[in-house]
Amino acid sequence: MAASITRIGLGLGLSCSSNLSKPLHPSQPSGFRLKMTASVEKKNYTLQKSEEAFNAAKNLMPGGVNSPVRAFKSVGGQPIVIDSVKGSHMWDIDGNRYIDYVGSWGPAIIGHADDEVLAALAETMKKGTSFGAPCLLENVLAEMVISAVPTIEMVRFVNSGTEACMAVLRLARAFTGREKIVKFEGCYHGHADPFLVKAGSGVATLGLPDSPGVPKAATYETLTAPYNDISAVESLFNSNKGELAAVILEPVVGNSGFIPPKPDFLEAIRRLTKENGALLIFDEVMTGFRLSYGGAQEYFGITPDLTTLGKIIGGGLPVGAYGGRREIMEMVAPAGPMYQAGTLSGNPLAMTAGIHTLKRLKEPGTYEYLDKITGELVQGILDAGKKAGHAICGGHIRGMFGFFFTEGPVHNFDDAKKSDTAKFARFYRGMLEEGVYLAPSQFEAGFTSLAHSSEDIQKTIAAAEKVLSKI
Amino acid sequence: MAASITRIGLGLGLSCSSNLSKPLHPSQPSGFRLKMTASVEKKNYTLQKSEEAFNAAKNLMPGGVNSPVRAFKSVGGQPIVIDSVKGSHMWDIDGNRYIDYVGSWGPAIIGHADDEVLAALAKTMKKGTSFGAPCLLENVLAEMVISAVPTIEMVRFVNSGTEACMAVLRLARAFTGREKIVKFEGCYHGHADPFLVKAGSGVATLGLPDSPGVPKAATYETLTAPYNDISAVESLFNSNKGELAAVILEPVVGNSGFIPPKPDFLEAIRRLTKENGALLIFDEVMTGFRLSYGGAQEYFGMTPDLTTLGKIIGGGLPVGAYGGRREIMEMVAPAGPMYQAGTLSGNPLAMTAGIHTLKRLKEPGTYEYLDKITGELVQGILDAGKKAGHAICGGHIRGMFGFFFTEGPVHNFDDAKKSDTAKFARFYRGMLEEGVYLAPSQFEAGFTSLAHSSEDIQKMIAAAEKVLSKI
Repeated sequence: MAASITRIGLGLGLSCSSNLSKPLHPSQPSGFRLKMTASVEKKNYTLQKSEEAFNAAKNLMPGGVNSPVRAFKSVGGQPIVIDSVKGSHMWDIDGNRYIDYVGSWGPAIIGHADDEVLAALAETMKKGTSFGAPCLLENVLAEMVISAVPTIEMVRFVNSGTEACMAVLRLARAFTGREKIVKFEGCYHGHADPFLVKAGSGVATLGLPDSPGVPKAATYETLTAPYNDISAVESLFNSNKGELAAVILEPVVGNSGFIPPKPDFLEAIRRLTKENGALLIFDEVMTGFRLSYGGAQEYFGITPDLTTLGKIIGGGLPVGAYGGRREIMEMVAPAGPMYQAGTLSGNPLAMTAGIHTLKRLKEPGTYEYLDKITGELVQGILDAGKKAGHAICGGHIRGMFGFFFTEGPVHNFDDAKKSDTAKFARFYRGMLEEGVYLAPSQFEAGFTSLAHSSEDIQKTIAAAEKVLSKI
Repeated sequence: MAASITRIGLGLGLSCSSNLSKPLHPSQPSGFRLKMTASVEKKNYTLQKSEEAFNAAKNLMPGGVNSPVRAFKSVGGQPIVIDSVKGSHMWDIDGNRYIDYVGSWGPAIIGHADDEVLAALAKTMKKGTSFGAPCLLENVLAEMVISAVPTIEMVRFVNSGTEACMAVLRLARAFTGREKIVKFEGCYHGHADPFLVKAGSGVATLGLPDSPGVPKAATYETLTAPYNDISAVESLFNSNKGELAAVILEPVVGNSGFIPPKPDFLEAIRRLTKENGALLIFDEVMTGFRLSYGGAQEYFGMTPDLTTLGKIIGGGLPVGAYGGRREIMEMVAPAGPMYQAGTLSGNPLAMTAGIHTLKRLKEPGTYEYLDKITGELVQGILDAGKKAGHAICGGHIRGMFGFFFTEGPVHNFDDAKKSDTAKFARFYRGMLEEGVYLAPSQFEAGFTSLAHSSEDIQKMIAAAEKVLSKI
């Protein structure tokens, strides 16, 4: 208690040193007796500059941000404005340092601002950042992606996950000649109209049912099923015989929080799609190069027909990609008639960042390391949560993790929604003050990197223990 | 003739020095008499490395490219693979140098790989290339865009023109509660399904009517009219009373080749939309910061409700944006319910490139200079074309230009399609060999930059004269 008063006192600029050595009232339970004689070393945790900058931003950009989740709406508190990142750390413009478990939402898997990547970028940029024409670096990254991801025989680079998913949808429809698709509730595949149906990520975070401005005509062919529910999918196939172009899913959900597939779920979807002449599309924008060098498909040994990628393959610059079976990809213009274009697609700077990032990931030990530290992290959080009496569950696969403030298990978005989001918000803000930056939403997965040290993990667990005992 | 034989001879590695001093046959018209006694200084124009690289690429990416127009399908010949760019020049991987009039399709308006921009990028990147959270640089670029573009009161940054246009469409529908839109034939607004109707750019280049994989449900509410045809638009408004959400157009067409609006056309569209409660959307992805610091809207004195931007504002990195009236933009999540997100949106590296590019453009004299050199350029091409007896027309506005191999005038896509595209292809390939890189399609505009010198312009005109006299 006194500790909180002290902090608030300092925050408000009040002098309160006289309170420090005063014992708590004798009537207080002995477990609560704190002797506050140590000098106060607590740093001033201020977000004043962030507040000014963010207030200014709200006049310039909708909600003050260029992507909704950054506005902290579901966790409350002052959104922080970032000054710099390096390795596993992040500094806001008030000078506060955080251990970062968002990693720019995935790209920073080898650590932020990696020296080797930066050196390569500095070198490449002298030759220009964009040509609008073919360059050799596109070939290099294409080869790396094709040799890494088991089912990708041919790949097209674009500028974002959103672009990749909207293109792969058009391609699936072009290839099969069908129009209906199946997606799963709480999964997010970028913001093209047909995907804004029971979408995850920021849509879930803001509690939006659908987005206004999306015509029914754009979504009536998007059928949805709960994640991990094989019979629901069988049902959809039965009542839409010969009409389903594809099933698209996150092979491990990250956009409703972290939800792994049940054993046999992916296998069943593969079987159903094959039997019905529909394509299986893995949206590996999050899981690609994160669960394994070959992505979720390699990790689980499943063979989708098409795959989307993003985040990591841009190494911190905007890149997306879609790829898969050659005969399908050959339908894409200019090889085939399905149109998709992009001025900055395949630009040499972004290719460079991707190439050097993948190079590092390919080194032996990468995914073992991620598995180890992330496992420790999640176990530490879960243990701390349970010890403090919270209903909490969670898990990880290699460098991707998550936890929910609910008893669990969480197998789908409805389960995830049972989470105590108010508690998550308190946890979130508490951790922020302890110097740990998590995703500001219960419905987003967490990410670690090769730059996260054991020390980072231990500090995080210690912070979690502290915060979890207070919320 | 002898000159051609010489070049072919060199290209084939044949010795042909004995032909050089041989006069043409006396029966040839005297105007054709060339004395070829000068020693051959022609360099070996080879594209061998480009050929190898491109052939390899065709196995990796659809058509060997990440954007269709780069494959040279409508002009023929070997697509060139770029090694580097600087200022107004481009080098392919065979070491051939070109004066570049594509400028990466618009972004390179202050010249490729500008030293000041590169220095700023090198500095910024040390603090990280992407945060996934707010940063001050977003505020800076937002302020610059808002103060530059007359009707933009609030702006959202995205990762491409395609993302900007698809978002602005959803926003227009959300704001008006209506669904139908009007676009113009031959205009291109990125590749979201609803826009792939009589689209320009690569769709026109490849001669695609629609793209397969686009459901009719996605396009039946996209009504089209010929550009510059006010009565066609009036007609659409009359037969769709109260149903039109917006009219979207390129205020100067670039994606069917360069087609300016007729006097009063934009004014009429503004009047019609206002009278009917529809929004007017200017797609200034090409024209923004190119026709004027305030874009086409400033140049023509028009007030659209919403505007899309791209290319130049990324300064060579992937950036798009949409903005406009505050009350409309406040509908965008998280300020409002219309969903749109992006992991890499507003990343500090891209913001830096945009900021420094706009800074340079804002300096006095920019648009006067672009106007002057581009005017000279176009006049030179047209004069050369007419002198050589070709049907040719064209024009420019500041740093944007184009020409068509047709009598003209060209006021819309149908007019543009009358062009002799076979002749354009021959012209294109001839110019390439003369060291001039144009857009490899009759249906794309050309772009100049502050780095294009008078010498570059004169060389281009001389090359054009040479090529036009032979095709």
